[in-house]
Amino acid sequence: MIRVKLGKNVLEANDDMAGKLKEQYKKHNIKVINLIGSPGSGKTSILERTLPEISKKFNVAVIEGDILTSRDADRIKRLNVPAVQIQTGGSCHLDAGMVGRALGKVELSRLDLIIIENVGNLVCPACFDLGEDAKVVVASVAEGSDKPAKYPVIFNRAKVCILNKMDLLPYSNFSLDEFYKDIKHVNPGLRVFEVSSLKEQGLGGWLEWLEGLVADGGKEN
Amino acid sequence: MHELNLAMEILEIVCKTARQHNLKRVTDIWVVSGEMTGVASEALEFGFEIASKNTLAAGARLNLRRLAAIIRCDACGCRYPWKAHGFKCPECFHSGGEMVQGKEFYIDYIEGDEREYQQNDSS
Repeated sequence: MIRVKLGKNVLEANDDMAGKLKEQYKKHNIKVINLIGSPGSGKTSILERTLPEISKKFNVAVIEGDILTSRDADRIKRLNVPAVQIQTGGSCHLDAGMVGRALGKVELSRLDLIIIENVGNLVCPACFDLGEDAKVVVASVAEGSDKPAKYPVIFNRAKVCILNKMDLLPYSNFSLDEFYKDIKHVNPGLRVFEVSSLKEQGLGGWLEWLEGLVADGGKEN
Repeated sequence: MHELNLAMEILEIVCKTARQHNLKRVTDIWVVSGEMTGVASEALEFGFEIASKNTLAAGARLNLRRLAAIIRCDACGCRYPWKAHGFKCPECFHSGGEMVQGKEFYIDYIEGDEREYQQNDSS
């Protein structure tokens, strides 16, 4: 019997590819957001509110990840924003290789911002680096306030949390106290924006944060 | 559900390493996984069992060693377990620190049997 010492990162193949994506983003001066949340938390709806505003100042493209259909990319294209749909065909997350192939379909030289909407899932996307500047986790009042405690990995790795469907607060047992207490436990530096994309409320802070990120080194019009 | 992907990544690295070291089969694989990686051990073992069929690593035991998430306090520098205290230092009560352990996910080492060379084996 012999023993071979490795000390090798299991996600090395993905992380190497993510490193190459990062170089591409940097070369073209593009900021990249990885939007992660449960199915139905409102990721695409938030984009529908965000894109018309952010597009006034910056050139944006969206990469949509879903298991099947191009419905989300179709929703984005209706806003006259370029969108590429990745259909994973079953995979529960996007990996850096998939994003690399999708980048071939956007005009990198004219972009300031790419928003990647990951497959609806709070678990798996957290592990796969896509070379992004920030992970943004979308939670919603309808899902319940226990999500940061139950899914600590994504809440720990995210820079920003959008708490959506705030308009439903009076009709649910969602506890803001519990939600913030659990966030403090898992990631005290996490910025939280309480919004309702349906009622178009509370989006100002989120937009300001996003514009700040892009303006920081971006090629503003 | 991504454990099958992870199992396949592990398998690829393990088989490549085994060939490089002339192992005829792999019997044990030791993987280290931090608490803040969210890797489910049973799903990983099951995924590996399926993925490794008809490979050098078929039947190998996948041993997962968990590492607790540890925070180093920004203020006093002491280290404490995240699970019990979050980011609030139990020594000086300062809020905030850096997670210095708990995000690891690597193959530590593998064990296996060496290939027996035959006299007429030219490989």
